[in-house]
Amino acid sequence: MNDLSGIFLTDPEAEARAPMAPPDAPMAMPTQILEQQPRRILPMVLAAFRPARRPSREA
Amino acid sequence: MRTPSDWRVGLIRLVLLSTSILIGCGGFVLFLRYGAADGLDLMDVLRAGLILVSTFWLAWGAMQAFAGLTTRPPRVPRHDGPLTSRCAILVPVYNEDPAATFPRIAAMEASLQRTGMAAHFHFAILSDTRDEATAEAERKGFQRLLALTGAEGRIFYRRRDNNRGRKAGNIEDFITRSGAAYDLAVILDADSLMEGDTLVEMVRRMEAAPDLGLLQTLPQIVNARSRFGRIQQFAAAFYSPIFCRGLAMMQGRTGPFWGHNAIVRVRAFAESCGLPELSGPPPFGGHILSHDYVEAALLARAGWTVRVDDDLTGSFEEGPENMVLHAKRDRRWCQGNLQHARLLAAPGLKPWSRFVFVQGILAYLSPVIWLAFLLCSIAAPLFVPPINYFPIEGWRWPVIPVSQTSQAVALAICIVGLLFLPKLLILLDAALRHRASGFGGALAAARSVGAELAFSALSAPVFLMFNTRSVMQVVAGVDGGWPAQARGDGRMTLPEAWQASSWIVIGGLAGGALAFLLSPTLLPWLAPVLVPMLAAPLIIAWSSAPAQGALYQTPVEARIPDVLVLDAAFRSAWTIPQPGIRIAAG
Repeated sequence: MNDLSGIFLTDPEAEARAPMAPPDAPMAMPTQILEQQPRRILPMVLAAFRPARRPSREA
Repeated sequence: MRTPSDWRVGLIRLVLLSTSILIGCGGFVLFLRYGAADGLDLMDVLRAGLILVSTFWLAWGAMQAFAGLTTRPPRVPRHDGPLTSRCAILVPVYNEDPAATFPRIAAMEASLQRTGMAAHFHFAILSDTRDEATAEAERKGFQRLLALTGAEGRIFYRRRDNNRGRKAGNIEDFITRSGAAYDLAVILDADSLMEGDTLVEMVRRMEAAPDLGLLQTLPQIVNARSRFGRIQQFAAAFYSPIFCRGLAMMQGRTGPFWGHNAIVRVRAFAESCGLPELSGPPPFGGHILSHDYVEAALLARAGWTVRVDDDLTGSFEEGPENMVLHAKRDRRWCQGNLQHARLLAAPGLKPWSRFVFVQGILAYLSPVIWLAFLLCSIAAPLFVPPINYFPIEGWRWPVIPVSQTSQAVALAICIVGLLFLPKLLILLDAALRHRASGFGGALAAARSVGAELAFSALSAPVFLMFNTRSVMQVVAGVDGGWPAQARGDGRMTLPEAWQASSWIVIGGLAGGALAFLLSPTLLPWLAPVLVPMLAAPLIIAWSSAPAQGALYQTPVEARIPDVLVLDAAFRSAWTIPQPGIRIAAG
C-alpha cells in the first residue's frame, strides 16, 4: 500500500480556505471509450489509391 | 474469499443457461402443439415465440435460485489487526432531507468509533443539490453533524456548481479532486447505512486481494412501515440472499455493482471508470443513467476483479413505501437499462458483461412481451383459418380436431411453477437449515411467504402495466430526467391511487371488452390479469397503508443491529433544537 500520510495531511492554508471540503489531492480519471467510431467506407477505399506520403522537406 | 476458477464458473454458466434455454424451448413446443390443434397460423407461431422468450426469462431467474440453494452461505472468518489503507466513505446527496441523511452518517461514524478503526475512514458528503433552501439546510446540518459527532476533519461537505454526469459525475468529481488521498472508497446512497464492523471487514478484504477492484455487499431493506414496504423488506431479506448466492456462483471475476453499499479501489476506479457521454440525445444518448453496471463492466475490462460477497451482513438501505414510488424508481432504471443497448458492442468488454446488459434489458422487456402475448391471444381468433372437417381427400367421414387444452394447462402449470417454486424451495431450505428462526420461525415464515406470493400475484399485472408504460416512453424518446428520490411514509389515499392508476383500470376494461367480443372462452384465463388491473387503485391504496400485525418479520427486527439503534438515537437527537448534544460511541 502507498504511504499516503504525506498527501493526506493537506497544508494548513488550504484547510483554512475550505475547512469543510475534502482534501486537495487530484487524481486523473480518463474518459473511457465505449462507442465504436463509425468506419467511413469511402475514405478507406480511397486510401488505397492515395500516393505514398513523403516526408515534408521542412520537417 | 476465493474466486472460483474460470472453467468452473464457465461450466456453471453453461449448465444454467442451457437449462433455461431448454425450458424456454419446451414452452415454445407446448404452445405450438396447443395452437396447431385448430390449424397452425402466423399468430400461433408469433405467440409461441413470445412464450419462448418469456419462459426462458422466468427459467433463468429460477435457475439462479436453484443454484443458490445448492450451496451454504460461506462462513468467512473476520480478522483482527491493523488496517493499512485510507478509506473515504462517499455519500452523494441530491435534494435529500439532511434531517434524514445526516443522522445516518453520524450513526455510521459512531459505529466506526466502536471498532477502534475510525481514523482510517473519512466521510465526504457530495452534494448535487439544486434547491437553494435544501442546500442551506445541508450547510447548517453539516455543522450540526460535526457538533453531534465531534468528527471535524474527518467528515467533509462539498457542493458542486453543476450536475454534470449526475451521480457518476459527482463521484468522478470527488476522485479527480481528492482521489489521491485515499486507497479505497465506499460508495453509498443517501439512504444507505453500514455497520462499522462491515466497513472495516470490506477494507480488510480489499487489502487481502490486490486484484479486487470492487466489492459489492447485498444491502437489506430496513425501516419499512407500509404494507408494501414491509413485503419488499421481507422478500429482500428472505429470498435475495439465495438469489445472490446463485449469482455469486456465476460471477467469476465479473461480478455486479449496484451503485451503492460497495467499496472500490480508488486507483482502479479512476483509471477505468471515467464515463463518456453517449452520442445523441436522451433517452438513449447523453449521460449514462445506470452507470453502476457500466462501471462494473469497465473494471472487468481493465482486468480488475469485481465481486459480490453475499456473506457480508450489516449493509442496509431503505426502499420505496408504495407501488407508485416503486414504479417511479423503476422508470429511471428502465431508461438506464434500455440505454445499455447502446453499449452491447462497446470495445473490449467481457462477454459476461455484455450478457449482464442483455439481462437488464430483458428484465424490462419481459413484461412487455407478456402483454404482447396476451393481446395476441385476444386477437388470435381473427387469424384462425376455417376448420376443415374433411382434410383427407376421398375420405367420407369428418375428422373432428382433437382439443389440445391439456398442452395449454401444462404450460400454465410450468409457468406458475417457475414463478412460485423457487420461493417455496427457499422456504423449505430456510425451515430445514434453521434460517427461518430469524423470520419468527418456520410457521411465521410460511405465513409471510404465502402472503407475499398472494400479493405478488395481485400486484404483478399492475407493475406489468407501469413497466410497459416506462418502456413505451423510453422507446418513444421521452426522457425521465433526474427526479429526486421521494422518501417518507408514502401513504396514498384512494383518490390519489386512482389518479395514479386510472389508466390501468381503463386498460383492464378495454382488454376485458375486447376479449369478450373476440374470444370469450379466454376470459377465465385472463381473469388473473384483468381483475388486479381493474382493482389497481384499491391494491395501491391498501398496500400503502401502515402495516399491522406480525407478518413479514425479518432478522433485523428480531435483533436490531447497532447501527440502526444509533441511527434512531441520532435522528431523535437531530430534532432537539439545541446543538452540542453528543452520543457516546463506546
